[in-house]
Amino acid sequence: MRISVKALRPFKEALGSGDLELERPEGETVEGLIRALVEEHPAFRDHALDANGDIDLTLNMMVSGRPVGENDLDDPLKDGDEVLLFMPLSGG
Amino acid sequence: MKYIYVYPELCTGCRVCALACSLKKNGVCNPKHSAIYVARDEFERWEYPIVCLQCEDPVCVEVCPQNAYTIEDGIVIHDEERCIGCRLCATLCPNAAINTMGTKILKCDLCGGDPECVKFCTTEAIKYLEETAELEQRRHALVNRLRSA
Amino acid sequence: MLKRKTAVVDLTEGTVKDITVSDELRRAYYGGRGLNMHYLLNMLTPGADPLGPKNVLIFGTGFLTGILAPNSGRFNISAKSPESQVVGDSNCGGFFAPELKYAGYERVIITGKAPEPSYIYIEDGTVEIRSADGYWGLDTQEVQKAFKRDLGMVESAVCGVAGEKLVRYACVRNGVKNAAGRSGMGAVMGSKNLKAMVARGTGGIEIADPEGLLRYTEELKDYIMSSKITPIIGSVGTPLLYEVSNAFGAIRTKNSQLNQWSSNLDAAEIDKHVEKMIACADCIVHCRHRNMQGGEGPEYTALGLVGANIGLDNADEVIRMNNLCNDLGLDISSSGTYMAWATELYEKGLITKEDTGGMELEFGNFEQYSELLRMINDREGFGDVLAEGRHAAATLNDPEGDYLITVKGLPQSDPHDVRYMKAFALGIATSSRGADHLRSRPTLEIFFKLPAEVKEKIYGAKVNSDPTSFDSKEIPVHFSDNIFATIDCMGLCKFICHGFNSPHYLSYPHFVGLINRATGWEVTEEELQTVGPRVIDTERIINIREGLVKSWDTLPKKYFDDPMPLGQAKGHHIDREEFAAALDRYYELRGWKPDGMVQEERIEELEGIA
Repeated sequence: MRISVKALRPFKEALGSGDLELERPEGETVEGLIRALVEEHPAFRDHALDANGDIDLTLNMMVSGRPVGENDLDDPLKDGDEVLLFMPLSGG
Repeated sequence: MKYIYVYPELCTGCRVCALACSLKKNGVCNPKHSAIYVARDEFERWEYPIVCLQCEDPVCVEVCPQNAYTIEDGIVIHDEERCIGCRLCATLCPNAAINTMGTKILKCDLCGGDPECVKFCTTEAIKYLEETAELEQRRHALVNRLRSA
Repeated sequence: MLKRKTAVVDLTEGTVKDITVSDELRRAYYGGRGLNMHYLLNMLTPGADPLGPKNVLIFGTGFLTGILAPNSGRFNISAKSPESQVVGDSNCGGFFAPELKYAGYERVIITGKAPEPSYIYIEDGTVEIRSADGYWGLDTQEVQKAFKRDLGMVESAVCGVAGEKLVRYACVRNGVKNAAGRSGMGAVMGSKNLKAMVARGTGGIEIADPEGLLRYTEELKDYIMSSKITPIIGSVGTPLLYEVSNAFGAIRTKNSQLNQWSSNLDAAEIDKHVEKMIACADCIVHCRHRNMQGGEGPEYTALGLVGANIGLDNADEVIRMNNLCNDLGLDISSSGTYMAWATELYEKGLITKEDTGGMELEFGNFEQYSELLRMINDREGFGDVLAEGRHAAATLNDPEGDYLITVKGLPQSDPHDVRYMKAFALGIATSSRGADHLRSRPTLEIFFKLPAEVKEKIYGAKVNSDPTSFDSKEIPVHFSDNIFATIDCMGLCKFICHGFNSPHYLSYPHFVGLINRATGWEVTEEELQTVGPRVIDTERIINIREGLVKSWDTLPKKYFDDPMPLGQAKGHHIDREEFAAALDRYYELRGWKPDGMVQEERIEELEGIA
């Protein structure tokens, strides 16, 4: 299935691009996608994973407009999903 | 031998180095009470940390009428007991690295090998490094440039 | 410990008097915004003309300002606002606040009106009122440079010509860009014939446990620097947020007719114009850009409000608009909101060329908006009308302010369209100074993966994790209100504090750690947690005296009635009933009456603190 990833700073630098089109196996989960990106882009590891190897709190995700909460990492993606990666930050 | 090396292009002007120095050396907070001084002008758009370069042939040692300065293991040390606060050293230091507060002289002694200011710099605009040929060339070039200015 | 003097300056009489501040009062409010509010509560005559001599203008440093504590160089300026319907208060970084403390003063309270243009000079324990001859009429950079030229290494907080001419959203400037921007404090200075506060000090602030504070601050520095967010703030700064909000579809665009705008204003584009990142006093993060156009900034707010909101999509032009606002001393949030408002009214035919003095207002016209800013500053032609801000609503044929993006008469500070994030909406609706993200924006709402039990521990209650739901959102708003007020009392920057940013930033235990090492006091976390609610209630009482009623805790009409048209946020709006229910729950949590009033016992208690 086709998944498009839109990555904002600082993740887009680590992934080499802010817009990725990926072919992923059916049933791939949100976490699976992130781990696949880590495999392919070593520079993304420090951003994506915390010291325990879990998905970092500061890697925020939305899948086709839905926020990815702590219990949503195992949700399977579907063909055509758009995954947005951004850092939660405040300021004005 | 380790020295403090300054990288003004990395200095953000925050003065935390000077605050740490004032607290360490004088027990109070005010960057003016510090042996490291961050000269800055936001309107003219520059920042420059000024601290003693520990010259080998220092003007302060040469001019002090009280012989309050000595060089110990490559560090120029100021002796408060001998000092009468005439401020000649501060006036004549080509690097303007000797600060004064009234008659009190504020002069960097590298905190006995553990400089407090460096610990608080988050941009590495001031670094405490083991001397290398390249770093020493840089330090000497700066000393010579200031002395001939 | 840490105590400096407090002066009351009567500009009408030309007198300066130091007043005593008890330790009981200091431990109730600490400093900054909190103590400022205490003095407003006690000294401000309800109903006073905000631009008249009876208004009370307070420059108050934070409790920790000027000492070795992370990002602690801040102060608050407070008075009744000439712009909004309520209390005015603005927090500011830069270098002025520490210098005021080194000069021996933690707070200067100003009443009356000087007979001629003046400035106040504070040096080593003395306060003088001096003639501003030669300084009046200068813009914010020129006048600060003039003070440095004439007086040496001083730091100043000044108003520009906009302040002198009583533009209702004139700000107070300290340095090139640092602003006490919100709620028209520059106009209050102008109304008092006060051009500037100028300070220079050699006094050292004594610390109870110097070595303890050195080691603790070093530890906090390492803690802050270890966050993955810190290096991003220090290298990209707030422009990062533009891209994030825009990807969501939450950028106020063309007076909130749209909610998404050009990627030409993404941080990567801003980067191209940055010469160096620089810091405020005592800041280890350095989020401020020195731009190649000769100024500093832009922040996210500028990208949104003098960018997307007025239809500019060229980074260079937006940075020039930002620099112009800064030099003139105009609040960027208000300027961008009002210019966009007028433009929509013009587009809709509610006003015509006759109203604008011939100006054909159109979104995206850089030259026109630059000219309009200058005209506002000089109160010239249509600029004179727009200088009145929301007070010009009737003149501009929008008597109810239906097209205004304001709350309590204050334009929304940040560019974030809050129709999607419901807690953000409740936050700006209840904020004491009007629509503002710096009072209570509950940023933890966008930490989507924050485990429920961690959230519950932070908030002390369960909170619905859906950001688009109002359910239980009074809880994060209440939490954020309280901690933000505490941060403003400390004089710390919200950027490195929990609640405004990462949960792994400074919070109550760290504030207590700093206070106790600096003062030798034995303050507990529990005690410190009472400060925020005290400040919020004090502000509420001041606002009630100025006429606040429940209906003022609301949102711009568009946020209720118009669903967002674009992007992932498409279709979201604020439901009136859901909002009203959330507001009731918020009042209850705060211990206010169902009509939003403060309980009589509480008023008595707060008025009794001396």
